[in-house]
Amino acid sequence: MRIRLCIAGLAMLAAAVGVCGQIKSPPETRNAALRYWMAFAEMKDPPSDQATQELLVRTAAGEATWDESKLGPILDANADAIAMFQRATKLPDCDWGIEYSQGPRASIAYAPRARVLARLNTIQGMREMAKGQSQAAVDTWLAGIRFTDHLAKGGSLIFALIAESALLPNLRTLTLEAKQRHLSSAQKQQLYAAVNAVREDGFDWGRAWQIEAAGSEPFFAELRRSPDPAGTYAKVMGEPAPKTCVPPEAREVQAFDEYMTDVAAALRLPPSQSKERIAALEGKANNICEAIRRTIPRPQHVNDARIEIITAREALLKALQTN
Amino acid sequence: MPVDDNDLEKYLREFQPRAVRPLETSRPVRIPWKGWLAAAALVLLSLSGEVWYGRHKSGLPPGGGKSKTFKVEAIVEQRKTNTILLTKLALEDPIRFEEELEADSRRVLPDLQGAQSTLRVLTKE
Repeated sequence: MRIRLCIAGLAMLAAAVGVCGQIKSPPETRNAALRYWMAFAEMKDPPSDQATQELLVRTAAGEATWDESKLGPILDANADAIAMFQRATKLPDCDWGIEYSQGPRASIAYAPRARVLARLNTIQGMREMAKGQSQAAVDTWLAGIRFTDHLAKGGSLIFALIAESALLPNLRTLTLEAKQRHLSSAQKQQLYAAVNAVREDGFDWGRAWQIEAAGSEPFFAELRRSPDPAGTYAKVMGEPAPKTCVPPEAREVQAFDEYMTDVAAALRLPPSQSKERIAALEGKANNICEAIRRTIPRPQHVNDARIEIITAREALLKALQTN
Repeated sequence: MPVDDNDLEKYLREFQPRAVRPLETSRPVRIPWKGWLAAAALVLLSLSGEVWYGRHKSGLPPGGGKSKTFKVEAIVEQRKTNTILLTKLALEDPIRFEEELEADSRRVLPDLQGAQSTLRVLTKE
């Protein structure tokens, strides 16, 4: 009886100690944008000479082979930032918190650093591949592809365009590595599955276009409120305001809204159909007053950006299927 | 030259005291445009100094300048590009777009430990 009591007492004591010893770690954020910001803050810019800077540019463009002695220290200095960046790409959400209510004045302060860190990550993959660490390189480039999805998510056209400029080098580098048979079958399968899951044109360009339109509305409202609409217009647009439509009337903004909605729908069509549809909307664009029309990006150029991604993605998928 | 005292006195008496003439000095020639010339030289000097300083400053790494001169206004007035113009540049002029991004990157997350940093004092308790 005594022995049983002792055992029961010890068991209760152990359980109590176990409960006390469990310290719950606070929940980690699901928002990758916060982690990216930390990574941007951790970035280092070690001084280098002109030759090293040029080598960095040529290496990033795939025009020069990896030079560990010259470029290694740059990546070493940014190792923490790159690692944090790669971990962030695995988080499920990404909300950059852009203040669209501020119209064109909304801060996009993170965009330049996002572009630089994305390129550093691509170069990191090249370094790993040069060292024979092909799996690490594949994982690095896949992180780069996931980042571009985060960058474009919920953003206006500028973010889709910056994401495009970060996505293309990853797709093209991977295509080159696949063609040069530097990837194992397992790696090719892993890459095929990941790249096949990416949208054919990379991002939701129609949505980005709609957000672009919504972001312009506060500017038109500001012009209507301004005691000096022409001055306000010139300050934002960097050129003198046209004689008419500043500030724009409601019916002029309405014409803009209708055109932008139609273009957004066109950018969801396959690129060849988009091209025709956008061309057909030209007349509608010409009916928009000049002051507003000047704020509109060229939709055919946006469609061209889509085509570039589609081409690069298809080339990679094809290279991954070839033995 | 007389050596005897009498001769010397006689010799000295030959000298007659005269009233002192007013001192003649050459009057400066007045140049009517001299003031304007000085003002113009001053303006030119200050402008060239400002241009030199601006160029010198832009060539320095962020926060790495040795000069103690610091203008808060210069930071406040730094231009911010807006999304309308950046998007148009990204689509129509990629080279200028990259230049704009590069310029923007200089004002994001500044180095608070730089030699010219004002805010670094706030990192201490």
